[in-house]
Amino acid sequence: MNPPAGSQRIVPYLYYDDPRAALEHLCGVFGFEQTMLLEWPDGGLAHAEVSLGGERVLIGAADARFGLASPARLDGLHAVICVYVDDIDAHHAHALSCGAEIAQPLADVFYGARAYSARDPEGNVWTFREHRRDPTHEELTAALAQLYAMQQDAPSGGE
Amino acid sequence: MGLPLPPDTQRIVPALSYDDAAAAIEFLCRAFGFTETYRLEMPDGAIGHAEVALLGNSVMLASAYPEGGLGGPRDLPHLHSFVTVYVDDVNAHYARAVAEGATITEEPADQFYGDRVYRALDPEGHRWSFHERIREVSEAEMQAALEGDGAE
Repeated sequence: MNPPAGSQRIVPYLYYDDPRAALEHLCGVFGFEQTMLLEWPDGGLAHAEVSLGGERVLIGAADARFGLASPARLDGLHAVICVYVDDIDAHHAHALSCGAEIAQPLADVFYGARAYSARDPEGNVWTFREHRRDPTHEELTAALAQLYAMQQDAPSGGE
Repeated sequence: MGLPLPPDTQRIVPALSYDDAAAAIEFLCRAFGFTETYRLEMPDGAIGHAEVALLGNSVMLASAYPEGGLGGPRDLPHLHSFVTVYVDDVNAHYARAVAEGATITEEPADQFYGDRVYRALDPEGHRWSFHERIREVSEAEMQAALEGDGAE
């Protein structure tokens, strides 16, 4: 019973201005399945859940009265979501075919995954990855140092 | 083909940004019962990537990276997400968090959707909601509760 069936223990809760459109995007483009939708008496979305690979993400309607806003209204993010999928190439191909906004292109990355990042319609960043190998701590540290040097050399102002 | 998931992680993992990620790790372990399982430092001492685990699930975290659009919650007027954690004994978890000085925003209470819940802030203002499922409630029952009394 605890954690609930069909749930991991640590579950992100995301807020959207248009949660129904977000649900459509998460299911249509990112491969989630909608598993719950609760409405207020006025028809507004109170809570929704989507599932992927037996785990879930919780979705709500942004409400500044409670200090919760869509990332579309903020100048930055304080969190992103990482999702391990079983076939990253297929996941990426599907997202691309749906016109997903790619933030980081699909690549084999230094931490042992094949991964890409995409933005959902309100600006949350989702990193999808497939676990491919287990680099040593030394390999990771060296790769990170290289990445850091590249960032220091990069011209400022760009993203 | 991919390998199975790495140890101590679930499939869907929140990754949080902190101005002082090292202090955040210390707090999450001391007050919320996490264990640090991974830490990669940048040459300047910032944390490039770290992971803390609780009961076989993990949260990723890193030092704020403003150039990449990632900051701590204090840089933003509102939050766009929070983290829900199912623990095995939410009352005990709450007692520890209080003893360690966590900022409690909602005291433990039984919720209509079947969970006993309390909410807390970490030192930089990320919101954490700690839950224990104490009874099973159907989606129809939850919907009825929302229509009946407008309970949150």
